[in-house]
Amino acid sequence: MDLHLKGKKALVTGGTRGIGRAIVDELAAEGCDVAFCARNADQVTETAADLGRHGVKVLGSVVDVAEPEALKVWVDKAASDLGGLDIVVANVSALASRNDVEAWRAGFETDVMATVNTMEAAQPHVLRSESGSMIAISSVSGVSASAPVNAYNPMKSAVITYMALLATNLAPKGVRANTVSPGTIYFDDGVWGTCKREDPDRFAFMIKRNPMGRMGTPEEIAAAVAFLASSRAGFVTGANLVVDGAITGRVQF
Amino acid sequence: MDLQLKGKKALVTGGTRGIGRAIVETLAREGCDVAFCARDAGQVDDAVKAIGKLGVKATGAGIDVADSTALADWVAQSAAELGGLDIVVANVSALAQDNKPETWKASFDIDIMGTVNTIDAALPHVLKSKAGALVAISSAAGVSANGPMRAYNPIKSAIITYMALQATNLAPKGVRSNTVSPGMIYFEDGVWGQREREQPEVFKRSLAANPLGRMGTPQEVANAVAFVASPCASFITGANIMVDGALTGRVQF
Repeated sequence: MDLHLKGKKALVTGGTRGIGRAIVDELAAEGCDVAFCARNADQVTETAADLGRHGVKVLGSVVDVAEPEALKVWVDKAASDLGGLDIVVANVSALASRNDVEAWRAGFETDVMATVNTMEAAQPHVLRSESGSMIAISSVSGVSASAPVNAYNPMKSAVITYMALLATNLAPKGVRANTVSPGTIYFDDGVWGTCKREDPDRFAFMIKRNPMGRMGTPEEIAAAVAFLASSRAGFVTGANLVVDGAITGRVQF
Repeated sequence: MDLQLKGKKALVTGGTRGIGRAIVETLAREGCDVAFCARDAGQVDDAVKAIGKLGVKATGAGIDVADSTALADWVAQSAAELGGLDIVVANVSALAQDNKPETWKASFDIDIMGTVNTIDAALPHVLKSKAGALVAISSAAGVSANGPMRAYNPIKSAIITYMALQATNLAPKGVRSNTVSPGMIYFEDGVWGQREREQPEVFKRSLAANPLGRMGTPQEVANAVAFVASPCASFITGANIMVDGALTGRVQF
């Protein structure tokens, strides 16, 4: 299926590792010009060099999305350098799954406000697109209370609701807004890679909890993001696409 | 995006008109061999000829999915003709618009048992596939109580729950199961085409309820079905993909 993404201009927060990296890679492979950011300068440079193989414009920048000013400056510059924005993917998370004040603040600033600030900064540009699509990466944790009390789950819920509000409010202006909610996604330098090395018993337990008997891959999330970003999903807005191998085991009404 | 559907074998109930027709055509264009049914054998023959021109194997039969014996026979015959089944799409609905006992009965027989019987008959074949995917077409009505009393909404809810149960139960066997829930989808010989002609005021009000300012197209539903049926969605199971242009206006947790 030709997703008609060739020549589209995409912005992704957190594009050097794991899910974000796979998203940037997938969008670039589909022909999007891509701007992405991350905190680590070496990783940004390495990623930008690697993505050159797709023959699209690739702009990597060092930005901490928890800094609203820097984030806005970057979004505006990316839009200017790419010549507009059609697709915005807010992907960064603090992955703060404790219940202390620091975790709540990190979840609020990095998961919630960085998503809000990314979408707010990008909106003037995306509103000029003929196929504007905004996507946030939430988590199945945002729809689950089977966990210790922690900041991560409620912060991810807030992201889903924020994107649903964006959907109804931007629909008359022709811009779509959706959420992709991954389940347990494995990559070596991710949460589950760390868990596998440091707590193999818990890792084995989590594999067992997956009805498919495995965790997902970043590429499987990126494929869902690319589909939603594309005009092939032209009537999909306000949706929460759960990519979890049925780990939540619930009925998604 | 290469959906990796080339050579896959797909079965679709109700493939001659509207959403079902778009699903059959989209899967065929992606390289699937397709088997489909409808009640009108003449329409089936015409559609089989048209789809065959897309360069894939196309086969069909004039059956009523409410006739469980005929349905099971047709599914077995289709699997034999295609040489297996990878993808099953249960699409037929009675589109029951009122609250009479006979309407409930028709919805139960066609929407629910048509889906259950299709999947039960297909499952032995799909379990042999390396990329088995079950998809049911429910409706945004299945997650909404905004409307008059009628059988359609609760019956469509039951389908979402049935597919979610299939997802958790089939995941260990490598078969995925998902629902696609369309909002208002316009085609001339569909419900909304008919309302446009017969109840223009109702049609206008319904159109205005769509945040995107338009209804969806069968193609937009078919795109979501093709994506979720494809190996690109290999970690998506138990999901309910809303293709409703944010009509429901709710947060899809």
